[in-house]
Amino acid sequence: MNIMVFDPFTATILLTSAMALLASIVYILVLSIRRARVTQIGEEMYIGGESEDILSLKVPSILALYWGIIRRSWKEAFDILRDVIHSGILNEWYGYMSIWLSFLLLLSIIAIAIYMYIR
Amino acid sequence: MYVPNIVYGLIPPMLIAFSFITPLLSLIIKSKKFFVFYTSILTLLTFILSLFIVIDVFREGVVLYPFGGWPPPIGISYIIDKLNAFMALIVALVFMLSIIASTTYLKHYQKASTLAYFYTIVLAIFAGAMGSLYTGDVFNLFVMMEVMCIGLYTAVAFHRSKAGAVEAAIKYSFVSIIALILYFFAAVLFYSGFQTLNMADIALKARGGVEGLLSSGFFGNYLIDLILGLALTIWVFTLESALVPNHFWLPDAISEAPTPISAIFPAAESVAIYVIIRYMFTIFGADSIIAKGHIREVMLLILLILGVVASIVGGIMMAIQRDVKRLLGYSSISHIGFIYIAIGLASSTNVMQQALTASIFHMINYVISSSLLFLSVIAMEKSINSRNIDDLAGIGRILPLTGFSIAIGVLNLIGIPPLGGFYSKFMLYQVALEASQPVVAIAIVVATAITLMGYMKLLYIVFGKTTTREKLKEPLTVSIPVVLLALICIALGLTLTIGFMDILKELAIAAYNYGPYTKVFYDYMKMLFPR
Repeated sequence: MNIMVFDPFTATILLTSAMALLASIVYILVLSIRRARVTQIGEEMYIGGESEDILSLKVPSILALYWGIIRRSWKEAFDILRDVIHSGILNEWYGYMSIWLSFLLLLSIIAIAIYMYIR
Repeated sequence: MYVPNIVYGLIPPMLIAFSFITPLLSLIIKSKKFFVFYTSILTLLTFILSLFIVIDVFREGVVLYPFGGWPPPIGISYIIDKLNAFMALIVALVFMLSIIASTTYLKHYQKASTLAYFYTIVLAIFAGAMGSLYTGDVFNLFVMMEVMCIGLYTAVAFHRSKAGAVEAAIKYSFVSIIALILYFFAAVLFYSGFQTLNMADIALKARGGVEGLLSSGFFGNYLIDLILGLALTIWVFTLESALVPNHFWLPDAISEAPTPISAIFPAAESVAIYVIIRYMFTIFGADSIIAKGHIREVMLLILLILGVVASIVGGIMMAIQRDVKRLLGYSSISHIGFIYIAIGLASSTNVMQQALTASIFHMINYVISSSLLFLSVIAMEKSINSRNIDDLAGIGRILPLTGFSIAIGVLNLIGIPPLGGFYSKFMLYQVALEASQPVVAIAIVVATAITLMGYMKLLYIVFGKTTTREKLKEPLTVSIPVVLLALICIALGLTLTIGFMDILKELAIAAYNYGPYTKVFYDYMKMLFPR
């Protein structure tokens, strides 16, 4: 039995092409089989603070659900990153930049001290 | 006697000269078309020259060009090897395409002098970027970085009636000027310790070889100068390349700058990353004196940690942006993080070549894709006069060429096979595992997953639902550059197996193998001063 051994790059290109080919065949099959479906439900939905009776549509779109979950789960990280770190205030930038500079300089001073001591 | 070809030293002085001439020309010539034609021809010529240099360097090896006939290390010299020649080619390509696309962006300006003003700045930035890449001199690097950065500050404030643009330019200039002054101080430290400013000369001395050198020995306790100078250099160039925590200026500057300038920013950042690679691997490599006390390893480890933080922070911030240019700014921060991760991993000598190959390849992918996306924004801005992602939903359907290019650029940045971005991230992942850093490998995957949130918004621009189905006319001066860049993105992945991987490996070897880089300097110096 012959076993073909490809390098990772060729293997990736071949596998991707095979997957793309397979996906396109499946897509064409699905297009040919499925019935025409016309609906507007769920397309204009959004995540909001209103109660359900205010909203005329019962099903939010997948995209709105995704962003709703992401925004909730990452809210704290977003708040810290946006309001604390990326506040856009020049003085705060200087603060963060100085910390990194001081750290590097401190490191170099320690290295120099070690070097002098060892020598 | 060997006389170096003048072409090697021609590009930066030529661009600076034409940059100075442009405002004078605007006093006499009042035609908008003239300035477009004049700058396009200049950038095309520069691209051809840089292509010629790449071919020549790949055939003949490293070249040295002494300015004004002054021999190194007395005078300024350009030392061009495979790494900086190839980087310069990429930078020249990005500048050329951005200038072609800028004709659409500047169409609504009535006065020729406005165009002359814009192109004066662009040519200065171009000169600075090319000079910073080609130079083999520590001080000349400072001068060329100044030329590039001053051009960038002015370019960010191009819309001077917009408060946001002026604020961004002031902030950027304040932080960047401080950084470059510190680099000047670092250059002083290098000179005081090594008695020379030539990079190849310093590289030789950093390995302890002083015999036969015109700059002779060291002065004082040069190791102290070296450690402090290197710490300052790293800080400065992490700021110019917008690595966390020195990244604050980038989203503001990149979103407020005229869009063709935003497309140039990734190239400008790659210049700063190149400088870090040059310093940490060619001049002060793993066998240099600084490696003995492990200080070099510690510095690279810090760059690795900051790279991980940057890739995650940039990814998270991308997700909450509405302005497409600001989103791309944070995408830049994330990808710069990935590049620094690879640079940090290169501290381990057994994976140095693979890590540097990954970093250089990812840098090329990032510069090409990011510039592509910014140039695509020009077509969108001109069509519906908005940069808000919600307004742009589905615009890829009515601007098909732009839509196709955005999709390719985004998929390349995400890292979808068979595009180049996949392979560079794959290499990065592989290097992290080979360097026994599984946590970093996981962080790369996590950071990529986080950036997906932001990139989905960009894909929404292409595939989202639009209110109109009427196709809009796409400006050719934008469509041609973006489609060309999209095709390059595809080619970057597909050509890996048929030779591009070998080129990348040669670039990585050029980064850490200081032998050919210093030999050309040593031979030239000996020829002029036989001892």
